Amino acid sequence: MNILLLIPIVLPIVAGIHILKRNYKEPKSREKFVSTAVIVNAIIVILLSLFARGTQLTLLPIIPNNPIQFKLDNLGAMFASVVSLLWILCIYYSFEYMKHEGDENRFFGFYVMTFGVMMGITFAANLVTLYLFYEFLTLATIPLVMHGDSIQAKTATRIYIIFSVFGAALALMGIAMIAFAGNGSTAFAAGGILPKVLTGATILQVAYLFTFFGFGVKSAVMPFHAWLPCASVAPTPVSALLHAVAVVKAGVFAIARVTYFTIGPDLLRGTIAQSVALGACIITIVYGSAMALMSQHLKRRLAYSTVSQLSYILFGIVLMSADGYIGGMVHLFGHAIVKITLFLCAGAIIYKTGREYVWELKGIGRAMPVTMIVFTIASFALVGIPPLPGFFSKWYLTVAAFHNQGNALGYAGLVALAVSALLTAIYLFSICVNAFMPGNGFDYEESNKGVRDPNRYMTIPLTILAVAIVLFALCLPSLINILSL
Amino acid sequence: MNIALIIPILLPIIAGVLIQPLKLHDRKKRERYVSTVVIINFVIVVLLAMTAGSEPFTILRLNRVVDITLKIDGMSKLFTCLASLLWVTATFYSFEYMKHEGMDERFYTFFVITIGVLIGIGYAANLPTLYLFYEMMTLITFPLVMHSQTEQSVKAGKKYLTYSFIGATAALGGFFFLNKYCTTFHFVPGGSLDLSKVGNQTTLLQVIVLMTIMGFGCKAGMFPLHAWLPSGHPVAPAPASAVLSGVITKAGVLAIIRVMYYMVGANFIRGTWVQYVLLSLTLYTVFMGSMLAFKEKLFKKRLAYSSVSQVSYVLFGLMTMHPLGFVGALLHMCAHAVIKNILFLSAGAVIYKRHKTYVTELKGIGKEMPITMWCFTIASIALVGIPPTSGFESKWFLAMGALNSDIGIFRYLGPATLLVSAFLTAGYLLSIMSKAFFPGDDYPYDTFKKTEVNAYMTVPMIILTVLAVLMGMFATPLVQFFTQIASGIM
Amino acid sequence: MGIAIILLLMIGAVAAFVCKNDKTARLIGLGTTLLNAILAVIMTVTVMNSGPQSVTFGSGTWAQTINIGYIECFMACLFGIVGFLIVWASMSMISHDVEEKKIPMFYGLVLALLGTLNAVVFFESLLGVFVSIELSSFAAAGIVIVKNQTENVHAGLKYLSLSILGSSLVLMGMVILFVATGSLHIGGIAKAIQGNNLMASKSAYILWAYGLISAGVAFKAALFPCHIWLPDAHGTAPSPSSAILSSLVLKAYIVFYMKMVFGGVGFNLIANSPMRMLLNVVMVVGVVAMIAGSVLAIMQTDIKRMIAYSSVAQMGYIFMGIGIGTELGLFAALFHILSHAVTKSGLFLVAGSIIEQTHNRDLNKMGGLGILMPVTMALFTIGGLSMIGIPLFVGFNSKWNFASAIVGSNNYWLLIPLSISALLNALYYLPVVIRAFFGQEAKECTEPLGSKERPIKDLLPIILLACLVILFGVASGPVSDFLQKGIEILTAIGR
Repeated sequence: MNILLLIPIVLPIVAGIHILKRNYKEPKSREKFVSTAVIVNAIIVILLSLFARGTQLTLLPIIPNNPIQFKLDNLGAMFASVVSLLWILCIYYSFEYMKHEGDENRFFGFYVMTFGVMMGITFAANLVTLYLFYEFLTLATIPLVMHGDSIQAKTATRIYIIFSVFGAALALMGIAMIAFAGNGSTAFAAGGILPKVLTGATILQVAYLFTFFGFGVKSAVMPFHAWLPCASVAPTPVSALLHAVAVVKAGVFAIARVTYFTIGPDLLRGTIAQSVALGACIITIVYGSAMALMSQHLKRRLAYSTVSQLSYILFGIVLMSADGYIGGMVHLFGHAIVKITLFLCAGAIIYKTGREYVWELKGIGRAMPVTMIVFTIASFALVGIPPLPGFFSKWYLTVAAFHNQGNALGYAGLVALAVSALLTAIYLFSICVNAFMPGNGFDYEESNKGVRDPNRYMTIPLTILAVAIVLFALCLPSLINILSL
Repeated sequence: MNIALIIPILLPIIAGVLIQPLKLHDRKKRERYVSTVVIINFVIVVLLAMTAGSEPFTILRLNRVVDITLKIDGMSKLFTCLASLLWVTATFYSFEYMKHEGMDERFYTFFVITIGVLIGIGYAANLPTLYLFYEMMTLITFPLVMHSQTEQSVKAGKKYLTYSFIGATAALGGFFFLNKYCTTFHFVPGGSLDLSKVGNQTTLLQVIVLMTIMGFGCKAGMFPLHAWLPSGHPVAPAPASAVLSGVITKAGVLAIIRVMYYMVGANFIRGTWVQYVLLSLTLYTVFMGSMLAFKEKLFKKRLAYSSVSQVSYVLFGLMTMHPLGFVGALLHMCAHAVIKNILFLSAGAVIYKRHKTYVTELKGIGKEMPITMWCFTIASIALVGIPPTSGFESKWFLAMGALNSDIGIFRYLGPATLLVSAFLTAGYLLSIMSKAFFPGDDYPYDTFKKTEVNAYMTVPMIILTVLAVLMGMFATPLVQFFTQIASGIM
Repeated sequence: MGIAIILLLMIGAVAAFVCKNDKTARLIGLGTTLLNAILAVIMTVTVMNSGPQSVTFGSGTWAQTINIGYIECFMACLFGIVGFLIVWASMSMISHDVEEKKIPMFYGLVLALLGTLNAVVFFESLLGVFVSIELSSFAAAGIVIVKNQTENVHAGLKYLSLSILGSSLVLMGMVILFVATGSLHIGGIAKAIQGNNLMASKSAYILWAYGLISAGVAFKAALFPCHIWLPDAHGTAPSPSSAILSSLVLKAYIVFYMKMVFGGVGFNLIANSPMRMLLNVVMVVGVVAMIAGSVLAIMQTDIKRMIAYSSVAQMGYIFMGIGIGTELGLFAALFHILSHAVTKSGLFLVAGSIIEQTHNRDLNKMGGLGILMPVTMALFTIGGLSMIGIPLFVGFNSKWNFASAIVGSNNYWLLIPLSISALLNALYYLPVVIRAFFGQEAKECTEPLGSKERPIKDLLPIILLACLVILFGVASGPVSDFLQKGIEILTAIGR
């Protein structure tokens, strides 16, 4: 039974290698294989999440006290299921999208492989295992970022590698310190595993900052955010799934693990380390939104938006309270579906028209109604219009920030959230409004000749996502229920 | 019975508004209509003054505390009779004068409405009512000021509006306070200030009273809010300047009387720094007005400066807070109203006939327009204060009031300033007269033509001139009447 | 009853959205607003006869309550009647500003806006209020953008973005109140604060909550210096939209704020707690707004921008009244809501008529307009005089109420800005009137009297608004008593 946990990790990796080796000539047969692999894997993940929570599997004891070990807890199961579902949608979307990028075998090979690696991260039962798959994730995604093979893509990849490796090294040092400070174990348990005597210890604070900024590289915390906007040169399904959900959230996920499951929030609350981390989040929130507003390249704008939004989640996590944890996690899932939708819409536009800049999108709402309506719904959600996901994030984050009586940075965070909401509204709504209301005398015929919505491979995932965004509120109570520490 | 108080207010207002819709394009018809209205109105006002009782009559309740209420008392009788009488004369005069101005219909619309509003000021039984008509007066008269619609007159009109609003605002600010400290904001002779409510906020209230009086002082041309008057009065058509200077300034005086003697009460101000400040302001205005008039070369502007100075005589009398001074003030109010009307009307006659606007151009005009210039001369003499004219009577009382009251250095400074100002008045008015009648050798005595204006203009002037003299010669009933008012409030 | 009003407007909105024909859309707009006005009046009568009504859906924390008291009725009537008059006036004006294809959208948005505004006022549960506030922001931005010119789109976006900022702040405040009091109902909050003496034990929570809500409402209701979106939005929107935006939309948020502050905290606690400090800030900012708004208005040359800046100043009055924090202050602020609504909507519609007939928005080129459009300019004059605060117009009663509130609360110095502000109003409204009727251009104008006048039947709604200005100017007693009753009910929540 326990060995089943290995399946969702191994299956996609094997399938990915198979695709690379087999080198399909026929798109149809490749699509059939890829979709079968992904769907089967997703079903397994979901079944495991539903019925096998709490199971544990220990493999090689590579480091004393820290074997390669998997365990399916509530957070991991939830995260794994959502990622799997999004993976299915993105795969279908990619079938159509990748037609204009080419070299599909390489793409799908690594894309599917990454799925397995992600599952490894979510299933990991201690920091060392998590770190292992975290490194794999970097390696598996490098070919995806570089996919275009252009000079920009190569530069972006180089930056990505440098940042990731550096971050991983930082995180590893942090993990080592945690292991050293405690009894050597880095296993996960809700509320932390370190003894209470370590509360506020300097070594713990240093270790926390190392892991926070180390894993924070992937989740694009200032000052380690620069790779993410650059990486938006990757094909859109990559930007959508990896740079809005999987990879970046892996960083967030790792930080959440460190904070709440290994060290324990009680040991760090009120320390300088917390203040530094909070400060970094707050700055990133505002900085990301401001940069998004200034970017005219659509995907870069969305990437900067991700930078800002990820720090919402981190802000919640670093508040180190039950409320903060809930706020962060609600935003983690809310942002996942919203941002992937935005990216997929952007991809649809690029795919159909080749337009990449915001000012080129005037009046496009009439030519691509489905895409732009979905984009608008997602914008509403990100800005936080009730009852869409962003609203609840704001709600819970505010509760958490205000409850954080010990730290004045909570108040600063409130201000940052408000400012960021303003900026978010501006950078997203300006696109929506211009798309539908280009101004009197705008020549729809001339400027959007031949532009129309993409085919159902793209529109169906978009529609499903839009519905998911709208219905998010319904799942929220059970989500919170499951995730509560 | 007291609902009748509303008639002389509404009649002119409605009649004025109807001038445009009735399409009275025919001059004769229009004149008949307008003259009927003002005469009937005058008759009603006089009848009301003789018969109406003193019960208040409430027209409207603006909100839960503020009501619009009318009531007739001594001051009302004086003011309304004076205003409507002068209106009749000015109206007849204007029939001829307006021929060269044009846009008569609009002029009469506002001219007729104004008298209704003025009567409203006279009958106002409380501060909100007074303020209502006061603001209406500003808004109704500014079209008269900018009647000619030239750049200059529009500018003057705007200046008039701005100053009026500043004044009214200051006064309104005062109301709000008085509302709290007075037992009622209805006018009660002697004031209704509740000293127990004032408590230790005397200084605050003093500042407020000063502010209110200075605010109303704007219409009366009191320094420092006087600057609109010399630019506003001269640009209006002569009949309008006559009533502006003669009557409207007195509305400001009336409002000050109402605040000082009917709300705050003289006792609160007497002997305080507020009284001294007000006395110095009025005296300074008296002196400054005369000096500026003396230096002014534009005929009507000289008269306007003269008004600035003369109205402050009235205010000075009020500020002495002595019954004699008060009587003097009221006497001067009547006298100046009549006299300044004559002066402006005759200036208008000269402009109408000879298009001469500068005093230097008036050489020998007495030969050419004898009736006009005789009226002008007699009025000047009256204004300077030579017995037995009305001006003498009023100044006598003013001086007596000042000397008898306990106001420190102003006991002597006041009469002295009045005296100096009288000399200046003589200087700026009689110099015109002497040039008019004694043009000197180079005047073509043989060839000048008589260019007297017709009866529409001369008759009103003559009537007023006679009145100006008679008021001085037979002043006793007036003095008695005024003493009665004064004894009621002090 | 309250639900019926909201539903009616929402159904009307949907109907207008889906209909393709602009004529049908107009009819739907007119009919629905008329029905709404009638319903509002009936509701008011019912409430006066049988007391406040209340409906609750659901239970527990997330229960949604609609509570119709006197103030809600007052606002419903205001939305109903003024909204109807504006929509009526828009019948003849809208095609000047909005292309035919977008007219159904315009009416749909207007009806949706009115519906959400009513909801903002009716809901007593904060979540419902918040959702309504958000929806109304979008509808409000929508009726700016619907004109579909570049500057509209920019203005609308600016409006929308700052609205979002405002509602984020409001939301945070609500959440904090929720954390502190455990309730999301104004009544529950009031009980917690006033009954359990939370003001002493959790004053930081309450202050932060109200501080954030105040800041949020400041953005929503364009309190200087958070007004920066208003001149653009109101200045460029189609004139009927500007009328709705300035006379109705801003007011809904203010009433919500009043309910939060006075319903939630109550007069007694306001006078003797840290809340006083907060309200002092509101008061001072209101005063600054009064002056700054007028000064900015004086500097404008565009007629609609001038009127828009005047709204900024008028919002300052209302916030000053709230900041005074006494019963009289609240009453003055509420009355001013009425006063400003009837006056400003008329002014915007007049401005729209002028622009439509002369194709000119420049104030310096409006000389002689009194000859060309005498009735229109007379209506403008009435509006201007009311704004200045001349007796017999509703503005005077407002001014009087504010002054009584000021004197009653011993904040004497406030009289100075109040007076100065009235003067400043005169400085920008009267020159327009003077130039229109009396300037050199008027004298030299050769065209016949009234040659550019719109037909009287098109002007009728504006004339009716002017009648309201005078009606409430000469007889404000019944309304005042009604509002007084409303204030009693509002502040009785916590007791």
